[in-house]
Amino acid sequence: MGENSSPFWQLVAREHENARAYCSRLTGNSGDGDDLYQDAVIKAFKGFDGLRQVDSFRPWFYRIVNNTYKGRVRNPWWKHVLSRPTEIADHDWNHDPTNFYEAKRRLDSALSALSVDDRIIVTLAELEGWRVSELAELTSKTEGFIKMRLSRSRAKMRKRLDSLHRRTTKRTSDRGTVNICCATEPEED
Amino acid sequence: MLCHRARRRLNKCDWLHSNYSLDEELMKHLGECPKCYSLVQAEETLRSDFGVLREAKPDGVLSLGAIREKAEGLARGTYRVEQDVRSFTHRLALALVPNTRYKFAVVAIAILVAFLAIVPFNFKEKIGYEIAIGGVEKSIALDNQQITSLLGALGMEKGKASTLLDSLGMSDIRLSVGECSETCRLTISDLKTERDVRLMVKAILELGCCQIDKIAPIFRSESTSLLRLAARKLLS
Repeated sequence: MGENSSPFWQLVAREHENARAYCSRLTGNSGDGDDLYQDAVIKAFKGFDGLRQVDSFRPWFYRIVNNTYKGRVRNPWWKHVLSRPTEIADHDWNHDPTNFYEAKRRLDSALSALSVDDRIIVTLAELEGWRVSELAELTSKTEGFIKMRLSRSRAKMRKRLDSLHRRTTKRTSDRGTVNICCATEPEED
Repeated sequence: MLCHRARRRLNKCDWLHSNYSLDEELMKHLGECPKCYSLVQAEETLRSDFGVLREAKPDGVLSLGAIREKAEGLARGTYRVEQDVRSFTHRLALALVPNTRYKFAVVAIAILVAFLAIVPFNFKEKIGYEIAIGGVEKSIALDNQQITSLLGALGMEKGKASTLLDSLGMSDIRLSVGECSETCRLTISDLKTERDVRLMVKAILELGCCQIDKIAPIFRSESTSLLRLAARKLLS
């Protein structure tokens, strides 16, 4: 393991920024993202000797990141039942807070409609700019399969956002009705 | 235009991001159908949200050097492994079943074994046979409560009776006396196998003094788990 460490760190350095950002996007915040990234790099370092073709380092490395992420989110069923949606940490990203917060909240809701595997594919395609061919290599599937997964995931996300929008609109209109009732109700002296 | 057709066309024109203005029929449908229009709006929102998030970068700097130091330290064994905060059972489960793909199978097997080991079932077990003999004189039946003395009283030679009991694997068989008028009805109920029954019936018929009224298996009701039952069968 030791004698091959130098090429490994050179290859990781090339992916460092993007992979770190990807981890933060997957987990939803920088802290968890950095933890995930660090774990994945250590795992990759241990298994680097098993990598036969250095050319395919990128998909290999991202596969380790994805598997580490899957290992983290795959909780026992009771934890899924008991867990509540975490608050979105909007203070640790460089961005316009209001716009970013809204966008992230909506995207988190939309992405929650997807399975872990689909979430990974969508995040890589939409946020990291991976091409379909690269995703196919990463997942060892055909390009047609990836396109189909992306299209179905997109449809699920649209539906989720749509239902979320309807719910919000209904709640707002209900609140409006209450306000009107309150406003028109005669006061008792 | 029907909604499903409109959505197929929307897919073709990348949800109004290419060549949609030429499709008047689609535009007309979107003007009339709030559900389809709402989905188009959702797609727009998704695009813009992805755009906002694409620009964002994680806060702070994570040094690759620090990670390298830790990774190489772990490889050399000099870096102290952080305390595993996972529970003992969780770690044990991971050690026993490293691949989560098989966890469901392991849980299913555990449930099945627990079901077989714990849940009791009622069943009847055949423990032997009984033979009812009719037409035995009352005085003989009441005076001879053991099979050897009975067979002797009925005229069988002593040596033959003991040979019969030896072949049955018993020293003696207890008899129970049933209804009695001039003759009595006796029941022999210690016979374990069909072979024993056959030998006993043959011996009684050879005497010619009485008749066989009934041959019936004896059952015992029991409540036990399937696993225990299987273990007992295997051991026996």
